[in-house]
Order: sequence, then C-alpha cells, then structure tokens
Amino acid sequence: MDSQKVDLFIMSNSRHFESFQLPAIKQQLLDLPEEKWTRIQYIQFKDPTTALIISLLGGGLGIDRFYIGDSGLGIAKLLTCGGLCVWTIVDWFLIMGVTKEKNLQQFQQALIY
Amino acid sequence: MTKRNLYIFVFVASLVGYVWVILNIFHIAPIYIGCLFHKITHIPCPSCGSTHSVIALLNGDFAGAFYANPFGFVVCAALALLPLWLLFDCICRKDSFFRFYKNMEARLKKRYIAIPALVLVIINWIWNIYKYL
Repeated sequence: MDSQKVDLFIMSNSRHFESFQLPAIKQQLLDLPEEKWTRIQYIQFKDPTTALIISLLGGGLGIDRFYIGDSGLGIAKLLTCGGLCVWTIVDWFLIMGVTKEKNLQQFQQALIY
Repeated sequence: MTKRNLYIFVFVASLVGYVWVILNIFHIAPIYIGCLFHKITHIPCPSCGSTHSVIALLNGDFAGAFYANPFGFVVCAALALLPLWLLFDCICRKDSFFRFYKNMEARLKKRYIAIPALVLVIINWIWNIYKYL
C-alpha cells in the first residue's frame, strides 16, 4: 500500500498502540492489499487515556473493563466491588497497556477478515 | 484473553473469594480492604452487601441474602460452580468454560441483553443506596 497513507495512519493512531508495536504495524500495512484499506481506516480504536480516566472514576464498578470490551471481567469487577478495591488500583496501572493490546487485537482481526 | 490466563485468573479469583468469605465469617477481614467506592463517597456501590448475602446463603437464610444484595446469589453460584467447572475442564482436557466465557462476552455486547442488565444493576444500586442510608 501507499507509504504516505501508511505514515498518515501511523501518525494519527500511534497513541492507540505500544511504541514497540508500530514498526510491525507499519510493515503489515505496507504489505496490505489496497482493497482492505477502507476496513482498516474505519476501525474505532479505544483511546488509552479515556480508558485511564474511566478507570480512575468508575474502575470500582468495572466500567473501564466494559469500555475496552472485556465484558466478562467487567462483570467480575462489578460483582466484587472492584475486586475488593485491590483490582481497581491494579487496573489504574494496567488499563492503558490492556487497551493498547485490545486495539492491536482489533487491528489484527481486521487484517485477517 | 488466552485460555490459560482465564483459567488461572478464575482459579485465583475463586481462591480469594473463599478466603474473603472465611475471613468475614470469623470477623477477621482487614478493614482497609473492601469497596473503594464506598470508602470514598460513603455511598454503597451496586454490589455492596454481597459478602453478607453469601454468608446469609451459607446459613440458609434466602430472604436475608436477597435483602442484603441479590448479587450474592450470582456470586455464591459462581464460587460454587467455577472451581468445579475448571477442575472438570482440566481433568477432561476440554475447553468448555473458555468457550462459554467467549460466548457470554459476545452475547453481553448485544443491546437487547446489555440494556436490561444495565437497568437491573441500576435498580439494584438504587435499592442498595435506599437500604444503607
């Protein structure tokens, strides 16, 4: 695919992925056939900063986990008062990384289908 | 989440759940662990009272358990079933729980399930605030 488009995609979405993942993502996009570009362009990635804010405000109710699409863990967190408060605090530090991981999964799924 | 991670997570969560219930039965649970939402705002969260509910269920007091928090039934069922389900999967080398989890996650994202579930949680929360005020 056109390297200019790829660079634009990387620039606008770099905050949604871990920095060490970006070279691999760039290479995958460069090797991508043109017809899959539209699908990649319209993926709604979750913002790690938003996830962190939600985790700080509503982490005790599991809203952060629901936001990133981990409904099962969201229910577990909701039913246990945020994992007896311990899980809530742990998630303040983990949630940004988990969100980026989820975004990468979403990106990889869009490449496959 | 991979199957291995999920199984380890559920195993550890069940273990912590059992320890927490036992500590509460003997009234030796540490006071600094508990609901962060309740500690900060002094308003109960939707699942505050679940431990009391589970303990009431263990004593056979179904009405008391329902009054403490209806979520206690779900937590009690999860604590009773999940370790056995994990054991069954590990012994028979199956992945039935993992498939159930993925299936449930996909279903929960559907609006006709998510919205009624959310409404139930909010109703329970309002009732919880009303009870504990």
